Amino acid sequence: MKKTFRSVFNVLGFSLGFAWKNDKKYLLLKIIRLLPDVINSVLVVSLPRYIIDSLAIDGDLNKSLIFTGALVLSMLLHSIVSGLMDNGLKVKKLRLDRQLNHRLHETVTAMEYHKLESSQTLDEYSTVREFVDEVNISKVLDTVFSVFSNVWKACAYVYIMLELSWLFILVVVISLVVKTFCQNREENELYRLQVRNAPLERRIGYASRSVMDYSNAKEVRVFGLHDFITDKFKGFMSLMYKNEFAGIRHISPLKVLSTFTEALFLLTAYGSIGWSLYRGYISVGIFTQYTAAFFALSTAISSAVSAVVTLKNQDNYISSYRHFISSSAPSEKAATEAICRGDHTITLEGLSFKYPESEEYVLSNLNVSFTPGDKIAIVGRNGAGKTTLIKLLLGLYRPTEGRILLDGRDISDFSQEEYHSIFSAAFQDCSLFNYSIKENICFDRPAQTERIDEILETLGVGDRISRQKTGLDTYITRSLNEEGSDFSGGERKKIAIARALYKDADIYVFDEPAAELSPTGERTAYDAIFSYLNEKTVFFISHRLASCKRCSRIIVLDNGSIVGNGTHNELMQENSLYAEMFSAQAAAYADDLPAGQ
Amino acid sequence: MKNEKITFGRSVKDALYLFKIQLSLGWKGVLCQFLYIFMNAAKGIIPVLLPKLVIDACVNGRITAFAWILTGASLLSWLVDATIGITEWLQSIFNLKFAHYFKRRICEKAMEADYRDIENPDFLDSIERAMDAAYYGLSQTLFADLAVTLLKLAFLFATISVLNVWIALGALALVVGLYFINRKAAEVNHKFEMERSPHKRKAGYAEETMLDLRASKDIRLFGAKNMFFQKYRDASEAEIGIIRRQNRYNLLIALIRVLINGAAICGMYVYLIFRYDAGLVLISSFTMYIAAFSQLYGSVDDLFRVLIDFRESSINLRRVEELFDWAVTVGNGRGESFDEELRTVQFENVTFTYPGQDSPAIENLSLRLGADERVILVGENGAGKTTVVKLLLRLYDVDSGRILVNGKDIRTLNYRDYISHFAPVFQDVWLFAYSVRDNITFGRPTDEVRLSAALDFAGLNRVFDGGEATVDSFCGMDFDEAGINFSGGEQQKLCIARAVYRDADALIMDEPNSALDALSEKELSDNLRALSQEKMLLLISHRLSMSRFCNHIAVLENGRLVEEGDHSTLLEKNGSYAKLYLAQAEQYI
Repeated sequence: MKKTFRSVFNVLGFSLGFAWKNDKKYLLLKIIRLLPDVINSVLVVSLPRYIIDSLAIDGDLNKSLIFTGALVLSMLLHSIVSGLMDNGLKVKKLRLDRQLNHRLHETVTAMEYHKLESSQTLDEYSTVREFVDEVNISKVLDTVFSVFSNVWKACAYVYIMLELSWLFILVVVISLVVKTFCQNREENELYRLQVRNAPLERRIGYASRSVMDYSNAKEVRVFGLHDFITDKFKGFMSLMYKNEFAGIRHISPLKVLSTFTEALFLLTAYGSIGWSLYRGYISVGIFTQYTAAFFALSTAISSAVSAVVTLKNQDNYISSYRHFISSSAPSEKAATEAICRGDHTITLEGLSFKYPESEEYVLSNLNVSFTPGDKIAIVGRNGAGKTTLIKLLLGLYRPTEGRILLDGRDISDFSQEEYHSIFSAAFQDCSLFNYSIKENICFDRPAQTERIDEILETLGVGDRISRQKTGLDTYITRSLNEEGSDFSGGERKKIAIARALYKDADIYVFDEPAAELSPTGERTAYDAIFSYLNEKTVFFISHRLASCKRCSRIIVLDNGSIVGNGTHNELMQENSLYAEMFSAQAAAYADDLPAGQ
Repeated sequence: MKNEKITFGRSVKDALYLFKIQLSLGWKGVLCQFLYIFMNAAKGIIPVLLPKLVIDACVNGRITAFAWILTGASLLSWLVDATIGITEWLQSIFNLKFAHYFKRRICEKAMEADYRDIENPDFLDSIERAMDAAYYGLSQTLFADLAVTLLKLAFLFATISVLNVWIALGALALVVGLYFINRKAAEVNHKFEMERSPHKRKAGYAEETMLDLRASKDIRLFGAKNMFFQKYRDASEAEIGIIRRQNRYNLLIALIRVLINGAAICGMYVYLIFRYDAGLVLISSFTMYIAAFSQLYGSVDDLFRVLIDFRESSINLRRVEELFDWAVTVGNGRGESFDEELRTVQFENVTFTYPGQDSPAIENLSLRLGADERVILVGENGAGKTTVVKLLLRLYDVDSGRILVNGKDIRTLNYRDYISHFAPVFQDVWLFAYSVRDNITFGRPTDEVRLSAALDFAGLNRVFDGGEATVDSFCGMDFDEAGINFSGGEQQKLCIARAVYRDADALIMDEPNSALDALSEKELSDNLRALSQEKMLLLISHRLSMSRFCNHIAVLENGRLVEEGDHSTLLEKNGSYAKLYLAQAEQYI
């Protein structure tokens, strides 16, 4: 019971607090909105008594007509006033909900990157999404005010029937207690069910999302995956149903008990009211009023209890939401130092990393320093840890052991935003957004169009874009804009590189910049990068070892350790992994190289 | 969207269709439904009859009758409430089944549709509307609602007719007027929903992208979140503008209803007062008639609401069916069967332009490939190489010309048969967040030997021998904390293994080595070189080192075939191929 009070209190506090902080007018309107409902409900129950008694007892036709007029007027006024108020509330409601959504967006986009990959976070996140998508703050507030409204009404009805008998009040209280108990147990069962079904819902959601966002459209058609995916659906769905049916077996006895109490309630109420009528203590009008009040009271109690239990249940959502928001907030730095723009030295000191749920280290004990203006190639076999190293350098992952120093300072001293401001990158998976070219390059900042055009031209894609009717404002797919144009994989890659070059940063990272580009395109891309970023520190990951020759430094990773560190010529002299890889690639062209080489 | 007139007959047919679906999902669900609604109707009758019976008994001093009435009413109430409570829960399960049924079918349609449609905004809108319609707009209880409402109505009508038939008919007339108002309102609301839909989609995309893992690196690095916040806000505000208009309209409708309601109640009371005054009505009956009247009014309202539900459900079913009826030209199961071995592939004067583009991606292309050939397509980005593959795999159909396989136009062949001859590795890696095994065998019984060979071919043996990863590990940690975050290159190798496992006549690989390190690339080259002569190999690669073991090189430029031959012939020619090749080879000096 105490838990219920605490939960309800939490929900009240949170929802009212949120509304107060974000839209005071909304809250006030909701409070005022209670009045017409309560007033009308009392009048609707009481006025018929006067109508009837004026006829039956006073025999006054006119009086009864007046009361009738009053009743109808009350109903009309109530409908009009509450209709107008509800209308005024609708858009405010929507806005309030979207504020909550926005809070979630803010949290997720500011959250530490590595948390996004944790299965635990994702499960909690799934609950939060469910809350935000299906319930949201306005529904919670509706429930809160439904409690207030029904409690008021119930009090009013009880007051009306107070004259009746104390036994009646006793029965009301007992029935209330039993009802709450049963409904509480029921909601617990419901919640348990939701918890069991949440992972299944997530899997169903994943299956349907992956179909609906068409990322696997080619594979589905060519490999004939329709049955595979449909079977996944069916499997998860039938598990869900099994859980639900099990839930019903638990709540059936509860339902029987709670409805029994209600029937008892009916018996007592009608019994005492009827008895009073039988004995002539009350008139037919009063009888009508009491029975109307009784039915209305029954409904009000039911609604109030159900609303309270709903609130208790919503506490689970709200706790998840609050926990998610607070635990995801990046930790406050004591002094958010600004980083001086310009040249930087980066040092890795005993750096090791493994994923939290794994035992294997991806990187072990890396020790190396990079000077400003270095052009560094990170090479190694697949899975050696190259992309992981980059993510650590960019502050997306946190070291498991050791540290990364920027100009001698541990990078965890800086806020994510501050640290990111000196970096720019183009990743392997080239994520462009379904917006325009301009927006993909400079987002919402004012565009220096000449500079953008120049970069795109240098990358060899300027022509393709200027051919479009809307130029830089062309959307890169057609899903959000019919005038959009689909760009090929290579073109998209170049736009991603343009985005990286456009940003004014101090350190640049390119993860496989030439992966989808033709030999000419590859050379153009590297030329562009080297010429634009002549003075800057640049990291490359590339499997095309020919590009390493242009770099001032090559770091060779193997099984998470650095096994080579030097220039191309130095590493070729040693009998190193690098030499082995380079020779393997060169050998493929060996017979055709111009004579004399 | 077709604006088909919904006739009454059509609504009934649609309701039957939905009912049949429900039955197929379980007759218990239908039974539950009927029970639930029946009991709810019964629950409504108690407040009408009970007061009158009690008043009559008490006022006339019949105490035993009073006792019996009371006991009976309590027991009945208990039965009704308990049944409602339990069937309510059961109902929610069947509702879930119903919604899932449509979700599944809509996803199936999305998978079945032509590839070109997935970029078609009309198709995408249709899917979204169908999902909305299926989730919120299809009524499962139409017949039950109708049956019960009619019963209740009959009972109440009979009661009131005892008083005055004209009153009952008057109520009927009033509500008929209301029905037409409601119907118009529903149509207008649908129009509003259609207006809102594109804005919802934009807001949805912004939200999903912000919350998506893949985009999150870039969003952080480039500080792009404000752009997304803005996009979300803009789409939201645009939708709110429409919602305001919608609300104003609905308010007006609501007020009209309220006025009519008020007038009716007023009239009823006045009539009864005068009848009582004239001594034609007992006081006990006074309350009963008031209660019966408001219930009657409500029930007739219910009846017409049910009829509107029939109609709305029908409209929503139209939206769902519009999606289901969307023409599928490729995967529709039609066409000749194709059991033979692949011998030749021929492109005959093929021209193709992507939807929405001005210039063709492929122009007048003629190319002949033999089953024992090792083919490589080379050229600059945008030359049309991937397009050739997409056309061959019938992800798109040609605009003019034909593609023949063993002399047959591929458009005449059954797609499933046809496509089983090809095993593709696409440029962009795609893996399900399920197990490695699932990603390769897709739920079919595993041939362990073949699986092992496929993993070896792709160079993954090292990853799966000793170490944490096994074939049953999950890809990524979405569904399993112990899932493996495979690197980009490892993911590409998994896609290669997937294609090789399929053991098809033709292996098609679009930039299969783009993410592979130098030694893995050599390993793959060696394995491809040693590939069975019986298989056709079609490669697209910028790494021209691969072209050396291919005996058929095709050079594309701006969608046209400019050179064809084998490596040494083309080098001698000193044309486009030679230029490309030497540009790359030079770097390895």
